[in-house]
Amino acid sequence: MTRIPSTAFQLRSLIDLRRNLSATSTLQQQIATGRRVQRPSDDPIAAARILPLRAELQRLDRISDNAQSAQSAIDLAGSTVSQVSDLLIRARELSIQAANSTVGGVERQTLANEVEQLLQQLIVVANSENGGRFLFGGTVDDRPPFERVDGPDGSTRVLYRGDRGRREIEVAPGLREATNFPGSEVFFAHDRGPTLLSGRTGLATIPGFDTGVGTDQLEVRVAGLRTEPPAVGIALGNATNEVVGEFDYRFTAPDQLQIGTGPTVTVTPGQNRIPVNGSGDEISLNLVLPITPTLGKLVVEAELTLDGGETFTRVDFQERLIAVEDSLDGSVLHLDVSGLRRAGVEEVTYQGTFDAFQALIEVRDALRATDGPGSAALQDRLQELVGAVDEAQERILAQVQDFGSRSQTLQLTQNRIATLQDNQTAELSRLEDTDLASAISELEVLNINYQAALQVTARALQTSLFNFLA
Amino acid sequence: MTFALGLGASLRALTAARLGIQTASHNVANANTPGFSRQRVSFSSSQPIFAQGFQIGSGVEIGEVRRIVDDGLIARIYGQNSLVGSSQARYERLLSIESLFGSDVGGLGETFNGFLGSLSALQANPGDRAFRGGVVQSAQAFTSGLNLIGNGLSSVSETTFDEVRGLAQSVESLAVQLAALNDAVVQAESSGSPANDLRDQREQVAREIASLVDVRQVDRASGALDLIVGGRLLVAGGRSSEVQVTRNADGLTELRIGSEGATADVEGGRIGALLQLERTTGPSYRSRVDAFVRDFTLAFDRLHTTGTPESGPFRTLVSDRGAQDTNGNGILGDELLSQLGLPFDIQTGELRIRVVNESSRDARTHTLRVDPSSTTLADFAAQIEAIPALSGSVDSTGRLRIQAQTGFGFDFSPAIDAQPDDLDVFGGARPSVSTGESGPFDLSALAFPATFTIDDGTTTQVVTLDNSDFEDPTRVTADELAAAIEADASNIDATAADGRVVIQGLSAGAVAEFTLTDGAGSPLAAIGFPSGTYRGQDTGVTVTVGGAYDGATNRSLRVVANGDGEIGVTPGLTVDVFDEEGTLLGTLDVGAGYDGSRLPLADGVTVAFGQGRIRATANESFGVDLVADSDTSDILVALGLNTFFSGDATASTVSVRQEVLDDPNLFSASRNGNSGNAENLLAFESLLAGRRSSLGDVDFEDFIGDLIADIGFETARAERTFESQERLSQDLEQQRLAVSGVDLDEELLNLNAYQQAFEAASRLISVMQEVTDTLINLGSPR
Repeated sequence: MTRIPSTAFQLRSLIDLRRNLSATSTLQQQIATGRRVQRPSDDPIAAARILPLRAELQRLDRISDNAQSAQSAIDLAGSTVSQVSDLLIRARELSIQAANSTVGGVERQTLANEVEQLLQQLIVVANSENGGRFLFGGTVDDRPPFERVDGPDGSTRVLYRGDRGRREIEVAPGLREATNFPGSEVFFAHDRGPTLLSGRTGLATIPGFDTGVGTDQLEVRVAGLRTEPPAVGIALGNATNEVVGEFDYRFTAPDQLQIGTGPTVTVTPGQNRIPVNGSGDEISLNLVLPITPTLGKLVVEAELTLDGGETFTRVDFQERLIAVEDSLDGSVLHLDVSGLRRAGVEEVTYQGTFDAFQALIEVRDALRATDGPGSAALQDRLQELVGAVDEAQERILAQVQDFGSRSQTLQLTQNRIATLQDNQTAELSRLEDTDLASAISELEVLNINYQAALQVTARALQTSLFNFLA
Repeated sequence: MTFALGLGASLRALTAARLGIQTASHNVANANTPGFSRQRVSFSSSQPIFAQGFQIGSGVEIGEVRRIVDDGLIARIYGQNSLVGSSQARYERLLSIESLFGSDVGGLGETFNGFLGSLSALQANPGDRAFRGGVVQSAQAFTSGLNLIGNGLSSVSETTFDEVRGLAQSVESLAVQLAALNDAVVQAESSGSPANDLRDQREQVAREIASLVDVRQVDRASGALDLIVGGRLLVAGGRSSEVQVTRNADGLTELRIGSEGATADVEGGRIGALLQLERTTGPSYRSRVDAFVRDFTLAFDRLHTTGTPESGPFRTLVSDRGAQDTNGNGILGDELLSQLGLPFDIQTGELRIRVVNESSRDARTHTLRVDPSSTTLADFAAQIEAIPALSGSVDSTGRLRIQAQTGFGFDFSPAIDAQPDDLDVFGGARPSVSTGESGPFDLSALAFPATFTIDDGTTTQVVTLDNSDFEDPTRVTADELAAAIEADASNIDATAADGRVVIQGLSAGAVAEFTLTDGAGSPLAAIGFPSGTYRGQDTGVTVTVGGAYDGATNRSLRVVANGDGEIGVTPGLTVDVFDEEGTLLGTLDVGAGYDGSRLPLADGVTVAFGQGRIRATANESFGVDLVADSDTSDILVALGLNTFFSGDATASTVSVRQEVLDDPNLFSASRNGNSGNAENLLAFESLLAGRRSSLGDVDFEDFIGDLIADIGFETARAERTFESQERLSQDLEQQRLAVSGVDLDEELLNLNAYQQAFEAASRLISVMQEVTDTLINLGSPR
């Protein structure tokens, strides 16, 4: 039989009691902190799962924050853009009101001023800020994206100074959403159609490349006469000359001249009006007879301006295609000049480019032009412009709708992220949190064991032969 | 039977009983003395006397007082003590390493994620100063966490030395005690009786030594106990050796025993565990953390250095790290870039510096070749100095200083040049002709002097190419050729662009023209100029490149007119896109029906053409540089120019660069200089989410997670080992107590027995006395 000396018994009891106490203390700590895993070494297997789970949860938190900030930016953009809609509704009312034949010139000026107010508001709205940053500047968000340029002739242009850069942030695992909005895409029209000319100069447009918006006026003037080879004695006459272009000339006799396919006419020294090409157009020439050489080319050069004469583009008929720039807004109109025959004014309509700015500007200009079209023409023009305002309105509403549906998607996304977060949190909690019910009952059991052990040990230690051999 | 005999036996019985009582009381008194072994008096019956034909018993023979021990058990306890000592030290040390990484599960991982979170928050508002401050703060929290770990892990080796030195002193003084006890035991036992209590004390001392170092004990016949530690004699009889602690060449702690100071290979005990941790565990975690810091800061700063700060292009930039005078000649900056003593290596590659005119916002990108094996820092500074509007120098502390002229700034942005056709060659308004291929040109077949004429309609000028114009006629560079043409003809401009030679008329417009005609030696075809007349146009073709390049490598594309005609008008007009190797990447349709819209060029980059005429017969083309990394040489990271982090690429030294800490607007969130551009943040994000082959193909987050989990596993294992070793040790102690422990009940029973024996012996004597009296009084009267 093994000897169990009292010292061995005492040591054994002490070790057992200590072990019990340490288990109690661990449990107590787990209950007090609510964490089952205090240090990675407490449960390395769980810890290896906890770390990525925590990182994933933090990532979801970030994404959720992102989704919220994206949503608030989109909501702000949506509500901002919908203000534009209100402005356009008012502009439409004003146009219809002004189209009424009973409205007089003074009243029209008042209406024009109100439209001007609307335009100013529109620019303020388009330059809205979000937290000190311009909402509609693309990635150039530290200066106002829309700049108003007033020409010396009272015309107004609104230019976009931002860029087309989109800044997207992760709003759901693998899903990105923009938090900035290039203003050119929000406010400017994109479905540009072929550019239309309404005059009879013979100019033709070329599809694409044009950058103007709304409507503009193109003026063609006669710039001068060139002869090929250089001839002596021919100059443009004093009378109003509308003809431009390149023509063959031929003197069948010193005073018999044919220009182009027109009839041969008798000319006299000095001023002459000579028909060209049988179209009824006449060219005014000042002649010093006789003219050498008797055969050659007459080139009546033209100059084109889009900005009311600020800058001219000369047409020398050597190049078929030319580009005319509007120095006020930098817009460019591309033209085929091969059919150009007459000076005059062309109304240029950039189809599909009516945005809110342009619509308001055109309405204002139509109302201001007191010496412009008569009241019937004005009514027609205003009717036309109501259509333009509607076109702009449609665009704005499409944008508002787009922002609305994006916001809604984000809301759904956020709900989905919240569900994910709940799942992950539950998983994390299962791994690292104390299961209070079982921990407390375990603690209770330990406690009872400990008390029992104490009592039994106390009894056993008391018993010694000394007690009985006195 | 003699009376004397009976009395003698009784006396011995009395003595034996008294000895028994004394031993029992000694046992009872030492019942709780640590290491005490119970003692027993051994008795035997004494030699019988042969008398009258009988063997007559002569009483008890007292043997010796001997302690009850199991020597095998004692040896096992020594070994177990070493194991407990080492596992305890290991556990305690790992626990402190574990707490370095965060007292909570997370710690380092948490601060890293905090940093990620702040980067993500900045994405929505890249220009916002408050969010930028958040990035800098959270980065600082992350780097100070790393510093704590780095310093903590290095101090593990510091504290190992101090702790081992303290423990070694204990070993030495215990060894002295042991030697003294050896002497005492030998002396005491020379008389023949065992020195029980001295041996107990000696065992106790030996056990303490065993818990510090693993020992081998040798029991000598003389009764001395010799101890061998790591192959060296610690105690030999009455002599003990000196114990010293030193550091070796690698800074590692070593234990030396004996007057010659020979190193002892200690593997067990507390000291053994500490030495082993210092050699393996500590350095392994430290190298893992350092590898993380090196890889992370390098990858992060590669992006940061080539990004652009909120505060706009730099006017002055001074490198964070200075060159060291590694060749020891007292001059800083004359060492090769590969020998500057920097924590990161400079590679062979290219650095692109973008110089921005602050008022016009015009930007020009200059490419510098970096070859660390042939360029010195001073050479590199001179290369920068050669860039217009920039100056470069090495200051007195070895730092590179780049400064822009007033009105200019610079950065290292890889932004796409929106107007790549700098010379306006492609559909230009001025008449022009280019060489079809890029140089160098092999003109060795030409008979020099060779001539051709340039007629601009006003003057005709002769260009004479001579042998002396070129360094090597087999390899004539575009620059040499352009200079030779420019020197002879004043009616045109000749320039070298992208390795090609371009001749342009002096004026623009449809009437501007020039004609190239071959002269002596017909050099035009050899150079690659088609002869003929080239005309300008009133409005040149505008070329606009846009989008963001999302390719992985730097590319250099060339867009070449494929046919003569009007963009948007001529049916079937196309342009070809070639890569740097001359491989056709694609053909873009710009003929009839093209409306100036953006056409895809490559990897997210688009190109749009305005209207006008282009001419393949004049070799019209332009190059587009698509830059993924504007510093393939890592020179910016290595020198610390526009970095986010500074330090020596170790966990103990990494920090956020002081300038960025002071001004969070210096954080490079943008890649093109626009305040609202967050491309660099996206790049950081994908960097941080991507797997790193240099870190074992895991991402940064997982690397940290694995590291912490590994420490958790190792600590948990050490804890379990310690607990089971301790339990084993307790079991052995139980066993020792079962053999050698004092059982009070037993001693009491023994005491009782000896007491009764004593009483019985006393009674015997009194019986003897009565018998003697009876005998004496036999003859005397009553």
